[in-house]
Amino acid sequence: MIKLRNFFKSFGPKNVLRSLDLDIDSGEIVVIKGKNGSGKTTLLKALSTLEKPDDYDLAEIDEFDLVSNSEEIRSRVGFLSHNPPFYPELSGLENLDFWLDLHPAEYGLDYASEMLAKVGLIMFKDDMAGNYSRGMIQRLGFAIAIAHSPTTLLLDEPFTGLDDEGSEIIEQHLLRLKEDGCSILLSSHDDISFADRTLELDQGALK
Amino acid sequence: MNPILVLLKKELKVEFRTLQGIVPAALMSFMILMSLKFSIMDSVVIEKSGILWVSVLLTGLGLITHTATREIERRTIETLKLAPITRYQLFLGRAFGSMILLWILSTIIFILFLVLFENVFGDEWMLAYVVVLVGCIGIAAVGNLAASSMTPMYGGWMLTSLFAIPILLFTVIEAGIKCTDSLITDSSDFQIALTLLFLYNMVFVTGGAWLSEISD
Repeated sequence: MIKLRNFFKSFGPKNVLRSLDLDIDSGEIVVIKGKNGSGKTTLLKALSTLEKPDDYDLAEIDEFDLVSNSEEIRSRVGFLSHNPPFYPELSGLENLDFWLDLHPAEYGLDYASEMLAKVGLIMFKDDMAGNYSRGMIQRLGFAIAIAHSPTTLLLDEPFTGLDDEGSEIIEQHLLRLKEDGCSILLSSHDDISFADRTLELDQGALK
Repeated sequence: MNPILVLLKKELKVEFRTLQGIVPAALMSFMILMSLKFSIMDSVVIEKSGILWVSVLLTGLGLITHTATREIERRTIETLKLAPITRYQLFLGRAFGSMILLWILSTIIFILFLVLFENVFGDEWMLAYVVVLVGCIGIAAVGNLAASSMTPMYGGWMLTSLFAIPILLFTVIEAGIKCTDSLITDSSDFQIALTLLFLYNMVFVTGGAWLSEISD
């Protein structure tokens, strides 16, 4: 569950997010659209705690304050960047296992393999991630975003570089996560047919 | 597993798969030691250990800057920042990873120093080696703190050294040189200098962890 009231973020003199109000319920898929530079990525990064807001009246995920409870927020949020970062010297399995090891819960290699199987990467799990194609990196990034069972999922253009099968896999996962009560906010330039709502971000403000 | 150990394991695995940091740093230290051997003719300077510490400091900071820059350029630093771990755990995991890499690099430098400068430590060479390893703890802590503040900036690879060298020079390096020099001259300053070295290390490791936590 995401709640924002009067949320501001700027970079120097440029106001990227201006007096933003946003509510996303559990089990809701919301798409955020907007031109390049409209503030979509900044909003997702701010919600993931990667960027600090300048000012706000309310900024909560699952009733935890975004700034004062950032560690708790990070354990609840799954984030997929537009260009997912990864260690090219590690295999896909090692990349995912490293991420899971940073969480308090014990997951193990079998669980990591299972997650890679779910995104169609099991055949390539021991290949170095540096040899993955763009679409495979996107699948790995998605597996990393959902592997720790987040209650809130933030996806920045998640279908970039994916083939039809990859897009279908991610759609099915998003629908399953929605049923499990996960709040999902994703940015996209395309229409997303399975979304509950679509919002338009224009020059840092929601229309 | 403790997140500090997870980060340390990752740091070593990434480096040992490519050796992109250790090998150039070891070659650079060889060049520094060779240059100093041929350019300094004063036997008083050669008979002391400053040359060893300068080589460890310069190439060690280069190695730390390399690993930090790699993390920034690939944006994997974002992955680390998104993990539900405290900032001090992130700092300690990266600093201890660098420390292990510095220990490997220092071992190579120490062997080169013994060979090129005809073992100035005599029978005390093992103790001198341990002192260098202890000094690496402080270099890793200050180097990582400097790298995490400076590498996101333009020219950060250079700024890291500019920030770290003055801090290390008058603390860890000075105490380290006093320690190893006292082994060469057989003076009684060794224990005081070693205590000072441990003290500086403790301040830099705890101070670095604290600064990482409050700067979040």
